[in-house]
Amino acid sequence: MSIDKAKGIIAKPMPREWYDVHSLKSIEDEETRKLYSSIIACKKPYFMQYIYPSLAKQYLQYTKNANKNCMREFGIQIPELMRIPEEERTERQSEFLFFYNERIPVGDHACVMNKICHRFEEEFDGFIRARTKEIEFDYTIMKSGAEYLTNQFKAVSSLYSEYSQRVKDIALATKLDKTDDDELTLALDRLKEAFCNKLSLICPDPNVLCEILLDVCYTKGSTKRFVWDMCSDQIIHNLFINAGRCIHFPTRDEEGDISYRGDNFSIRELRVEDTEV
Amino acid sequence: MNIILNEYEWADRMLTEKRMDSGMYKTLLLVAKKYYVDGYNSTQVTKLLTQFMVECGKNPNIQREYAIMESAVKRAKKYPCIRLDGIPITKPELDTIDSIEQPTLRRVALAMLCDAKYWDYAKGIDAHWTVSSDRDIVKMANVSARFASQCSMYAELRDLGLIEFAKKVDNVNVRVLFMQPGETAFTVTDFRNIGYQYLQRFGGSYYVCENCGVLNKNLNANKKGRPRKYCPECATFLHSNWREILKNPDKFGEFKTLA
Repeated sequence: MSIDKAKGIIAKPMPREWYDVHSLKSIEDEETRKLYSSIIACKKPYFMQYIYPSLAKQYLQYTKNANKNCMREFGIQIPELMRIPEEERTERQSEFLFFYNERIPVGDHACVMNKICHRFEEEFDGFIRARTKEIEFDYTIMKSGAEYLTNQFKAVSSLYSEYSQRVKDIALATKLDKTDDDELTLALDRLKEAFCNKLSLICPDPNVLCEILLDVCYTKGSTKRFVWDMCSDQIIHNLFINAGRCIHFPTRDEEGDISYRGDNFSIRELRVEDTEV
Repeated sequence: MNIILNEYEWADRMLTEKRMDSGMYKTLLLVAKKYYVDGYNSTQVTKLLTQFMVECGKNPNIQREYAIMESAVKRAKKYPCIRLDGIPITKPELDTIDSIEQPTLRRVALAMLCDAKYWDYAKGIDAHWTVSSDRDIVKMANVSARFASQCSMYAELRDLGLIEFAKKVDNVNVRVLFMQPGETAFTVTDFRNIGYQYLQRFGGSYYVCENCGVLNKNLNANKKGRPRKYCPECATFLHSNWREILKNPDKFGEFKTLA
């Protein structure tokens, strides 16, 4: 509706009783109220949580809390409770499930989009986790082997903690202030610039700085954002050097062994000389 | 979430020592509450907080940090400043806790009771609901339990008739049912390590950290040697910063950087 208005289309607004539960309650005629309540569109469909992050957050919080309550009350989780045949459930269990479905913030009915969404979820459930366990990432491929002093490492480590804290503060302030994403990006850019300057004072050589930052970020389980924010160019350069100055990229090839969206591709190798870098 | 019993005193200490121990937002909130208690108005509180931020090395001119401060000033006006010296536990309540068979459950029940009493005081109502998450409650009780065991502990306490769950399916708060009036038998003065405070009544080796004042269990009680002076967190801080502390004794005062 609001999109139509923005386009200049005069749209007749939907009656509030069609989508608002409180307005629905004000209908005096009982039959109409019953009919409207059976078809009211007060919830966004399940798949829309992937479009609206706030809806996803609301849904996750709801399921997490309901699951906790289910575990406390019955000693089982909600999916297990749902698997119990209806006639075998106790009165309290049936009541719990009824209110769980009533109050759920998304509509999870068997529409085509929801079915597709569930299919995707099943397919990708634990996909990344399984892959990360399979392949242990060796971050030394991004290093150049430059040496540095312990003092420099300590100084960069403390800046790393400060940066992480400042990013958290900015995120909190954005939430409290309800500012938009552009302002958040701008604030993060400013922070990045300020920390770049601080780091260049500690270690003016970008090669050495990259080495320290990689050791600081990749030896901890926490975020690697700092190193990529500060010296992404140097990392790309190191990768290029470590790969023997070769770039590998996919090109369309009818006899290629990689198929993607109906086309075949093969990997080509290109050697870049010093002068071209 | 770390519950502070005497917010006024805590904020006063932060102001004197120019520190922000509980994160920027919470510290500013509590300091703002203190200023309101002292009789300042919103404009004056904003000015004083700006000054405090500068003293702590923050820049209130940056829009983000100013937004945090502004929000703290607004919020502080809505909520009263908590000034509690301790949470009194009455004799009938303690008897009920002591009657529970499992020792871990006793500590969890005590932590719940303290939490419910704190929030009753903070909100000015007699509803006896706990607000802290079960993770915080279990942590306060010095019990280490995973999600499933936490839930089974709650279920056991419910079966014993000591607590009740909320009716809403997604409300995880619980109501304490064994709050009874009577003679004070025991006072909880610190919400960190309530479980140890309870266990200390039955003996055992415990020590109070000289820096942050938290009660801790002496894990090396049977070993010979000097008794412990600092809790593990303070000891680690002291170990890694002793040079700086010796260099700037004025800055660190009595080494109160972690309290």
